[in-house]
Amino acid sequence: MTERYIGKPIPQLDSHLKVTGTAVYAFDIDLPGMLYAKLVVSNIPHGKILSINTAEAEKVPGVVAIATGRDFPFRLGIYVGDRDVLAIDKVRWVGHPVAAVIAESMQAAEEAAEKVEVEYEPLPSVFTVEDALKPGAVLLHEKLGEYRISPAFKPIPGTNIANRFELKHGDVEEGFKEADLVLEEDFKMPYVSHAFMETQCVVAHYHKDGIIEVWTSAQSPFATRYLMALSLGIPVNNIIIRVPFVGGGFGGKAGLGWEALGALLSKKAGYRPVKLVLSRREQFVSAAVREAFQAHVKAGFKKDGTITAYDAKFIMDAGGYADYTVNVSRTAGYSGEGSYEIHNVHIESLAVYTNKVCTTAMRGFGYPESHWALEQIIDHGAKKLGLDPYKVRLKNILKPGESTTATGEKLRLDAGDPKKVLETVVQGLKYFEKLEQPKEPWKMRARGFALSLKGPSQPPNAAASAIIKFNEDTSIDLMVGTGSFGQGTTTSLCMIAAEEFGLPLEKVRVSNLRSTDGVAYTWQTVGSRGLFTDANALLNAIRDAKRQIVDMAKQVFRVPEEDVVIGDGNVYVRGRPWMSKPLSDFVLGYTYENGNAIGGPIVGKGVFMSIMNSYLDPDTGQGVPTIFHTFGGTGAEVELDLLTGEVRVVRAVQVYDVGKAVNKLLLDGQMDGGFIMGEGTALYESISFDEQGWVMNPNFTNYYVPRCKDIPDRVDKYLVETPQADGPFGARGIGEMVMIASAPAIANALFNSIGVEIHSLPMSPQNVWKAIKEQRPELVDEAMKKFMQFRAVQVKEVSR
Amino acid sequence: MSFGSPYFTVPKFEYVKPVTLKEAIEFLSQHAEDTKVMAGGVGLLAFMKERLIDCKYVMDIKAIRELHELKYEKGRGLTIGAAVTLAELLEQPVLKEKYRALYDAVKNLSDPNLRNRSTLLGDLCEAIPWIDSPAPLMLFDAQVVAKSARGERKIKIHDFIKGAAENALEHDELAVSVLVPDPVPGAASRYIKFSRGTEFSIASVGALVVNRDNPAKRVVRLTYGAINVLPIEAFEAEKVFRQSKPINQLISEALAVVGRTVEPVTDVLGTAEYRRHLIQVQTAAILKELLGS
Amino acid sequence: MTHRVTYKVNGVTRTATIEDNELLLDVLRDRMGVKSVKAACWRGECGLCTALVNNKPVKTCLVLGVDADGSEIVTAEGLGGDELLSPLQKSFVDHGALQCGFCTPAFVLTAHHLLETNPDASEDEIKEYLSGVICRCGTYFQIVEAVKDAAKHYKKK
Repeated sequence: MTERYIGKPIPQLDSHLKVTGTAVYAFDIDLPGMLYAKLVVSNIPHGKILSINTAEAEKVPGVVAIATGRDFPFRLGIYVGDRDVLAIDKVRWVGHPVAAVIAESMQAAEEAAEKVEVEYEPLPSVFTVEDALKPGAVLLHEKLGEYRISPAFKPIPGTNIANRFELKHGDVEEGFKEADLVLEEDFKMPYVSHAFMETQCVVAHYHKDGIIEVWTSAQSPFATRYLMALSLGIPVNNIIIRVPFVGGGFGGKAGLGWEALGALLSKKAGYRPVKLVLSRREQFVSAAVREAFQAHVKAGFKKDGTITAYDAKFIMDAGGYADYTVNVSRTAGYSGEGSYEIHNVHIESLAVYTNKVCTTAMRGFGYPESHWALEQIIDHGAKKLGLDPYKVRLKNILKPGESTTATGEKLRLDAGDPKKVLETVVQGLKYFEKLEQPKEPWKMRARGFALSLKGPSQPPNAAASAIIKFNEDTSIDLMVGTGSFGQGTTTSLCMIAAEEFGLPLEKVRVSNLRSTDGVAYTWQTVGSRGLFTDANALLNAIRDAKRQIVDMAKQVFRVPEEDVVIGDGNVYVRGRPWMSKPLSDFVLGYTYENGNAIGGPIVGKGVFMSIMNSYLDPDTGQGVPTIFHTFGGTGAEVELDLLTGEVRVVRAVQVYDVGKAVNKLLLDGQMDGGFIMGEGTALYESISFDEQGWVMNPNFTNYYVPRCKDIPDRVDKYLVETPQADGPFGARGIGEMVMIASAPAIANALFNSIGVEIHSLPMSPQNVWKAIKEQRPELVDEAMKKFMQFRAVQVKEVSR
Repeated sequence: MSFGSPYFTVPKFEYVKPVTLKEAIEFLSQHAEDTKVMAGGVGLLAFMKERLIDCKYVMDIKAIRELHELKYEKGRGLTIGAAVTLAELLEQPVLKEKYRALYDAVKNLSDPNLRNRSTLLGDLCEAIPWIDSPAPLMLFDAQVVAKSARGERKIKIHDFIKGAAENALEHDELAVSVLVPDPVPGAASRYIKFSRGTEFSIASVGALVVNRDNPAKRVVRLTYGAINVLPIEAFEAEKVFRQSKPINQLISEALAVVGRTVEPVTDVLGTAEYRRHLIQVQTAAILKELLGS
Repeated sequence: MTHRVTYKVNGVTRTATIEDNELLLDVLRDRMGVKSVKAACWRGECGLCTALVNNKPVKTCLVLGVDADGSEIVTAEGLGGDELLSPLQKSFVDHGALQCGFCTPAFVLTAHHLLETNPDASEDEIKEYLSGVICRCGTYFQIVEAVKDAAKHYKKK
């Protein structure tokens, strides 16, 4: 049967609202009697809070209340409860929120916030992980041992280590003995910002009956609700989290945001609604960003390219709070082997506190970090062995049904086809074909590629559920908790329901404002799990709904269950098409001619829980950490300007084994958008700190995110579809996978062409030029000579 | 200098909008220390959000007819009034024909949207190290015309920028126009900037050449922006071009002099080392374009 | 000091009494309920606060409300005129030229102005012109295609 919707390119169902600017985001919510909140933040990197003087601030007309940390003695955290609502006894980074002013207008709130005086007793600071790890280093979290910790994580109290993860597979010492070549290298990545366009905002209302209502731009309403309830000591259903449209998440809105603070401010302000919107500066400086990363890796190769051993030490610079970052460090650890079967792997991964802005998850979640090192050292090893990087990867590639991963997971037969992905990347990139060089002799073109994989980094018991409700005219309301902030999962869910019932897509709807008291539970909208888990839950709900319909229909038609068919808006008997009734006769119960009614409103319920995942062994990291692996790869054809160090991606290739393409348009959007975001972190993005821990570029002028003129000429996209048996229609996720391999692909292009190794990001013109100057200074001199000799020079109109 | 304000609002002030130049000057003379002048408002409001500026009055000059003057007169030059937007300026054909370096700078200044509001004088008065207007204006020996109750003053562009965000205007002075003299017939000029990966320029260079093929009469002007707090004219390097040597040799010599005399700084956008290199590349590029090889 | 300002917003006369220091962005959003005009940087870098003011795209976070008195303002809600969607907006929908949608109103207005003034814009000119607005979701390819596809509606017959 040909599919009507599945596999087709269908625009998001909320597109009309978005192009007319009538989609409502938390940013747009105003409530009657609403007040405005403004944060007061620390201007020192580490210190005890001695006093907070609000006398002058309170005099500003319109100020209703001012809250400090002591007003809210609660600690929050998903994995590590290390975060105060507002700093209580000390501040841990420049920008750490210490107080909040609530006023009748934003103007008054800002005026008053400037007048709040905080007295600190400065403490010594640690700005690097090296300093933070030194014995006797000042501790950011002295009470680390008392925090609530999720069992999968191992902080080390008495140190600045928020988590330590170790992966032991085989015997790396033996592995290195077998090797003909051993490489040892260091890699680094800076802090980056998610830079979603809608900054974090909440509108919170603590009602007088104890019910808390929060509108928020967030990815994890249920997790937020639960953790808030836990920390505040109130029943979970006393908190309602409402999520309207979200202007971008990328993992930065996945953890706990400002919901608890907003609610408590509302209570303090006399139970009036309070709106807190973060300014862009605050988004860089006071809210969680992506951690900085460094890796020391050692890889052993045989002459034939077999990787015999891989030993890595990862350190995540997690800033002042490390809540989600502990899981990122764990994930980087278990993903370190990548798409390859390496029999001897040892990875130690640490998340370390430093006196810089706090950190959280970001798209890729540890995989961009681990792959920045892995995918480059493979190319370096290949070159030294005189082998082609493609051949080396082919030699080691994971084989579904045969290979065991470094976490001891026997790769299932339907896990995907990494070999095909590798071949498609290389073919799509035209890797082995001649590459035409630019006519300017100081410029060159080069190709490079890298592989990637990812699965959701969720606890083994992360559940999804779905409720499907029929209306009188057989239109359907899907009550699903999964968020939609651009990836369009809810559109795919509607497509699935329409397909399964044979209904037109216009008859299926998901609300654009989803509240925790009105939709089914799902763990969080993170990790690229949305389609896989929530669509599976939905399919179960659909089956349940169908069962209810069949249950009525079999009585009405007086036939066995197996003979009832639902399709095209009708319910009929197999083989007897004249015995047919419209679906609308059943959706609110079936009424016989004499008025007797049976059944009732159709409400389908379904759940999905992965049954094959496990916790990872606390000492060896062995287990089945993820519910699927989407294998992928990125190729980059770049143009390098040897005069200025500029790298421009001319053409990119994106390949992903998504199992089954559910919505072609949305997949293209992810592959394109993910490449652009990957290109941004590869070439431009870096949060810079000065020696006092101040962020130097909390703006879009000097923290550069890609703009329209920065895109490659083309991104050639290929989908491999090897269905996963337990995926909805065989599908796997894609949201994060698409940005993992961009940076190493570009770096490999540079390495393959001029032999220059790039160990740090970003590959800004300055950094690339410096690397070339250090490693191949003759190229820099030659380029200048050639430039001087070149006859016709056209000054570029725009030197970008 | 680093930007990035946590504030959405700007501090309170009183908005005044004089309709004649006389009114404006009189107001300024009475409220000199308390008043900031606003044309497009882009720079002013951004600075106010940073809490770098606080004032009692904001004087909007857009209602003053004279300040919209945009006129080219042979012999006198180009007069660009304080309220002329960059978009309006770009529409003048004379800009590309006679003042190519200024055209290059304005064409790539910020973005098309902001150019509907921003003004050239506004850019200049902002005086932060990375603005685009000084280097090209210096090539033409432009002047800022400032008026106050005390009379009129012409300030050379070379003297206009005093420090980071500091210009040469007195508090009671209103900059009414930029006067860009008629270039010498046959003058060719360009301006290039390097701003990859940033919205500001990391390094900019402007050059103007007259009598390209006649060493005795040849004049080369060479100016730099964004590499230091103040814009720089490389007077010593310019002298190189009076010699009668092959062009490529002269360019190499000039590059060496520039390397010695033009000192870049390290800031959030880039290191001095990289800027030194960029300056060499850009100077070579612009001189090759204007002088041939 | 307060000012009584009047704008024509999407063809409808709107008035408000505002303070000297209120920004056009906030007058539109908070006083007049025109929420399609967003903000993401409040410094004129991101372009999301773009509105068409007297037929020119302007960053409303850096314009005083009182300065814009008497202006004609067009925002994404009104671009379609009597239709729900303008041909450009339809093109955006069809090409999937949006993901989270937060930047979409700004892109639609900016692209509209580009095509009105230069309907024969080349792909490079389109990319350059649209670089004043940031899309973090990275939907640039689709946006450029949508703009190219919609150009035919702007060319003079």
